[in-house]
Amino acid sequence: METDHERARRLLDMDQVEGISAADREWLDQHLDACAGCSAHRERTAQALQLLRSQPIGMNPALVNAALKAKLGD
Amino acid sequence: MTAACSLMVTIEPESLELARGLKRRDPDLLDRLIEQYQFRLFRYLWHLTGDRQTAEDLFQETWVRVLERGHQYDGRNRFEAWLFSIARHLVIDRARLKKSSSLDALTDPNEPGGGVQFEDGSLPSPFEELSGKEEASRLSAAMQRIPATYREVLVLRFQEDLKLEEIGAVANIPLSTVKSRLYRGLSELRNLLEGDRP
Repeated sequence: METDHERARRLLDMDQVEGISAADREWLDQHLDACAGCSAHRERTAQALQLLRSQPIGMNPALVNAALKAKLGD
Repeated sequence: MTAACSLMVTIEPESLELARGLKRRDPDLLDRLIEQYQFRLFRYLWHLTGDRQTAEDLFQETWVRVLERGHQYDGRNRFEAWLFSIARHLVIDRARLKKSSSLDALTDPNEPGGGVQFEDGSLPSPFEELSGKEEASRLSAAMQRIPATYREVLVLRFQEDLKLEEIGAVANIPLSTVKSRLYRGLSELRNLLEGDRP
């Protein structure tokens, strides 16, 4: 039997991956308002994804493109 | 909605125009595509290979392949999904040439494995090379410990913003597998970052 905390954490991940229904969101919001542990879990998830999304792309386009254009021009 | 309706594929006019241009091997179109997608393609390749030089080589090979096989793009999927799919095949081909022991990790949908290894361990990782910041270092360490199959879907979903169906097309896996890998990957990423917190 799934506990409320397990359900909340499953829904938090589901929200990021595929989305959740309005009814599930309402239940989740109520649970998070009352549960510090699951709220912290939500914060950890948000921080992990923010870190992943905010990484810059370390590419030198001029360098790569010069070589690429030479190759395509063959 | 009937099952038949739900399976209908809508081809966007932009995708159709792209497909026509690629069939013509339109050089201006290729220039525009490179300009538009170069950073995203490079980031995907860099994450997948973990090595800048290999990513640069495969970046070039991918665009050459786009030019050669552009006629095969039919506009049914967004261009970036097709592009990543081409890049992914080249990564697998390269891994085969190098006889990577972790090749199965990327080709066998039932085997998460450890990751496609090209990198020289003494060189900076993709993230470490980007920045000396503590956060970059933490993310680097976490991502390198996540199996390639999970790392790939995390990048495609949360960095490249591909739809679940598009990720399935790129990685040639069913939707259920895309989801399960995303859940596992997200869980591992969160746990690894949390465990590494000072």
